[in-house]
Amino acid sequence: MALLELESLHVRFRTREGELEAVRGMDLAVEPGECVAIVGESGSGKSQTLLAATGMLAANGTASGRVAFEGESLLGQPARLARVRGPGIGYVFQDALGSLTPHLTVGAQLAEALAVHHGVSAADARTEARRMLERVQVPDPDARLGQYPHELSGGTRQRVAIAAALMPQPRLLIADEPTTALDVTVQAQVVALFRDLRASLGMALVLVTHDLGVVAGLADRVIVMYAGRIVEEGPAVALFASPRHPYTAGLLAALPRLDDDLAAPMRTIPGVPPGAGRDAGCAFRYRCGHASGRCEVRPDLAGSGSSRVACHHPRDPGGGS
Amino acid sequence: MASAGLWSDAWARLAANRAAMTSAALLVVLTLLALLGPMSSPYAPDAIDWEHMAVPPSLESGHWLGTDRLGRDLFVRTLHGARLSLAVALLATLVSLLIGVTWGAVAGFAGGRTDALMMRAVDVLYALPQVFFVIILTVLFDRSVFLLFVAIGAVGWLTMARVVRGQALALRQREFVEAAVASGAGPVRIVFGHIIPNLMGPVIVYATLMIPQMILVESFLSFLGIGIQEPLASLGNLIADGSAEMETAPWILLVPASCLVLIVFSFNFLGDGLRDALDPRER
Amino acid sequence: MLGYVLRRLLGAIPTLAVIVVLAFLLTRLAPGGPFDEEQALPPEIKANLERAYGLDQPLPVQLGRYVAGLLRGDFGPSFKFKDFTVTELIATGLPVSLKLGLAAVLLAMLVGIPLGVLAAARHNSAVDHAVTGFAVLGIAVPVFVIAPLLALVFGIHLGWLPVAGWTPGTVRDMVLPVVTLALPVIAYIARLTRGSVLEVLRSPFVRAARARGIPGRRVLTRHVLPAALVPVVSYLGPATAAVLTGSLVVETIFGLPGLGRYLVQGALNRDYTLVMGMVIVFAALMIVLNLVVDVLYAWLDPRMRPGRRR
Repeated sequence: MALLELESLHVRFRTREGELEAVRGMDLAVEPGECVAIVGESGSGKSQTLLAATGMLAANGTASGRVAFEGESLLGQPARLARVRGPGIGYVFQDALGSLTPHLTVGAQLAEALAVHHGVSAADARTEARRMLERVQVPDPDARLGQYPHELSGGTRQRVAIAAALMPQPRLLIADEPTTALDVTVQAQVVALFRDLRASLGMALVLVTHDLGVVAGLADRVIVMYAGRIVEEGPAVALFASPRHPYTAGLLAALPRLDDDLAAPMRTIPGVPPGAGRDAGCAFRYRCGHASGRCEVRPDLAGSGSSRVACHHPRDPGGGS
Repeated sequence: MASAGLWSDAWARLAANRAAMTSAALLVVLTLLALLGPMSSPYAPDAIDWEHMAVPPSLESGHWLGTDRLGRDLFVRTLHGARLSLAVALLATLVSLLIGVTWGAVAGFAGGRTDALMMRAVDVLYALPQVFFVIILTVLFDRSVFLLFVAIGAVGWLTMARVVRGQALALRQREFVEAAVASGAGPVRIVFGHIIPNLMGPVIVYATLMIPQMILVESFLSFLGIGIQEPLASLGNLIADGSAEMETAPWILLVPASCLVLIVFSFNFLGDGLRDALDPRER
Repeated sequence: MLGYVLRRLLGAIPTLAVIVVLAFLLTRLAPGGPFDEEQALPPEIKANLERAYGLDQPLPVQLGRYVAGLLRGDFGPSFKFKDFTVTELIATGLPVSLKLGLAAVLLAMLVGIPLGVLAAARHNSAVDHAVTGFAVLGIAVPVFVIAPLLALVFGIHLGWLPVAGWTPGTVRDMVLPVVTLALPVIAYIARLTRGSVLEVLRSPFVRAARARGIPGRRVLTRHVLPAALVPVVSYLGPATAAVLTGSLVVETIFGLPGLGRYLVQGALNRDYTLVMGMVIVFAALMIVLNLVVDVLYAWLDPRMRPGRRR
């Protein structure tokens, strides 16, 4: 049984300009211990998918479809959601300083999560908090326990935020842009940390990012989202080697490489992502070099085995670019 | 820079705010009533109706809001009181604006030690509630209406100075001010020609919110007998009169009190509406 | 922290000094004196009186004497309450005003904060609308309207509570004055708390705490409230000012022998020393209370603590 399952998940927001559909029918299954990366530009619906799955949409948002964790349906079940959040699903957000409560010490915040879920005594929770800080490689953990978030450096804050999410021992960790706000060197450290943690704790990881470098370092499977839908999914190695959707190929081409000519302009995908209006065709067709009349009808997500793509003009599997 | 588009956007937002527009309309009506209303009534504000002393509101007596214990018509007296209270508040606000905007703009534009010193003075004056300074001032000088608004105004500028100074500090770094400095404009010209015009938005908002404060201060002092004195009527001393008679004739209290609350309400709603209209980020 | 408090107290001395000098100069430069009212006194008696009170001396000498007196705790004689010194009046009035003021601020917080939290926790519910409406009303209706209305309803019509008088040690006498003083502050605090809680509820650390599975009520009390109370605490300074100002009216209306009533009496009678004494005591009170507020601030928000920066 899959750990987390989403079936035709839709997320809508009521806004002043009318209804806005951020996620338009999303299917996803995460197996225990697996690492799935969801990539796409900002606004593609990747964060909203996971916020909806954990019942944490903003007040003007509604989710429909099916969300199940370990077989238990979660949508519209606040009591179950409350049980699952923490020991079932942990969540690490992009904004590390923002994720920590400013007026509570690191020790208090770490211990709280454990005490609430596992009824551990304050002293034991504190010992466990110290062990967790060691585990996420925070230097001088004893001193950190008594410090406030604003007294820590950016990298340490993110490690503490990760530690806080790990305290209730979740079976699935969602990491939403965990490295975006960090320096490049710290980013690499955090990626290494996730790899270690996955190996030692055996938990599943869903990584939301637009940084394909992070994906390459961690993910087993990659899901590419565009305008609220999956446009391509497949094993990380295969997808990186031969992207089939023109959008995926564009994303990969836009990735800076070490051998880049620094003087040359950055490669980007021309155009901007579409707004969330209703459209019967392929959402990417306005920015796509291969678009044809067929693209006025939306392609289904189809394919063989574990690789699937939603495109009328998929690139040749062996072709690369 | 404030462009025409900005102001028309703000106007559109204000027009869409029902509470603010209702308040504005109410204020216009009240002001017109205060100015013209007494003329429509057969009674003078200090005319004593010996037949009807302390009569409750009724149509038969001819005093539809009743009379006070001296038989003076409450409708006329309340409108007179509102007129005087509004006038004092408006003039006091004007005085406050002049001092506060100048003080804040100069401090904010000068920066450095001048700024620190000027704002330190504001802090010192903040150490005591405004009303106390007004009381000192009114104790010292004759209790005239003129002195009252000058005193209230001279004390009420502190918040305005802080607001303006903050805005001016931010404006100072903006390109058009730097351009004016670079082109050799003197400090006076920069403060009055560039900084103050660009502060209009927040100044209008705070001025609108300041008027009800001024009305409250004036009424407060008049209530205590330190402000406007009999035979002149202000909302404050009318309320004081009323509270002395409330056991037997509560309407003498309720009529001017409702008028005061209505005016303060309306200015607050209008001010809030203006703030939302001029600074949509605040929401 | 102790050093910080001491430094702040030292820093308040210039402020107080400026207020003393300002109040002194204003009172002395003004036309008219305490002996000008009612029937004109014969010039020689007036001169005698002025000599007796030292008013014939040059200004700097008067100021020097006044300040020297202050340092000994002597605020000078009251011109109007002839049998009392200002110090004696302060000694009798201060406890009354302090009790009244502290009770009002305390009541305002104890009622205002929960009201605001309740409204925010049930955003857009009937409770929320009721609290918001009450808050708007409380801000527009001044103390001098609330006081007679409350006295009318609870004192006269219902006869539950005394409308005037002060028997030391009785709580009943304090109820109406304290409630009157507290109501506008309750309204403001409720509105402030509501807005602040709503804002903190939207902040990322609250989302993160919820994501860690911390139950809603615990998130509210441990993660939201301390952060949300920061603006409420910084309002305590203005709240104190409002209560002190309101005490002038409340003490006058309910006939309480507090500082506020003495100040009003002093003002009505041009009793310089009394007015100055009261103003100085009020300023000192404000300064001390603002210091208390800053200490509370540091306790609530570790980022505000002196000398604890990264």
